[in-house]
Amino acid sequence: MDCMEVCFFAAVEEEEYMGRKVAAVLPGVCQGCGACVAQCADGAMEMNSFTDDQIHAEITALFAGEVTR
Amino acid sequence: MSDEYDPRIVGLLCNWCTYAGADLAGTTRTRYPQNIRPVRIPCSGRVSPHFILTALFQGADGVFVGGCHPADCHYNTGNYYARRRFAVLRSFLDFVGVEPQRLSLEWVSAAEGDRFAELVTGFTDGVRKLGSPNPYARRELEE
Repeated sequence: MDCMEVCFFAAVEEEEYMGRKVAAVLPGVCQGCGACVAQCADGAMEMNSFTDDQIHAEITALFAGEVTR
Repeated sequence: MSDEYDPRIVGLLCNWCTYAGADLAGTTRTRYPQNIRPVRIPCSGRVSPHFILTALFQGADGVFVGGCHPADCHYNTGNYYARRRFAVLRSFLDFVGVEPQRLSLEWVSAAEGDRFAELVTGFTDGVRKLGSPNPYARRELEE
């Protein structure tokens, strides 16, 4: 999995979940860089406090209420 | 608002280096254009190309991504991934017709407040010289 390859700290491990291989983050090892979140093409990886939704909302809010030009 | 084109720039700044560098530029009262709107991210490796596209769709005229110098990333390898993703995105945006001057990936350490100010000034001037807003902004498309 891409997230495992990208992680410098080897904090992502493969795990079996309902008969499928899934990625699982070891919270004690994870340093919180977010490289795996950006790498995951399926959007399965998410990060505390810097979720995709939060950053998109932040970028969108930068232009909220501005004069159209 | 004046008639002169005043670019809007989104800055995606890595928490450990560029954001701290921007902070230093502020505390040392270095002057730089106020067009940049910083967004703090944990690491430049967190920057998904989707963020840059969102910024362009929402009305940004330029996107400035800042990370730690090579071999100086707080998370060791994040800026290398940022650099690769950015190279791919840049060639894609060039292909669809976005001017390459609208994008910038730079390395600014926490001690380089002056360099941050210089880079932002240069980038803002470059975007301003293009003379027209980013054509892919959503409000332009809806018209």
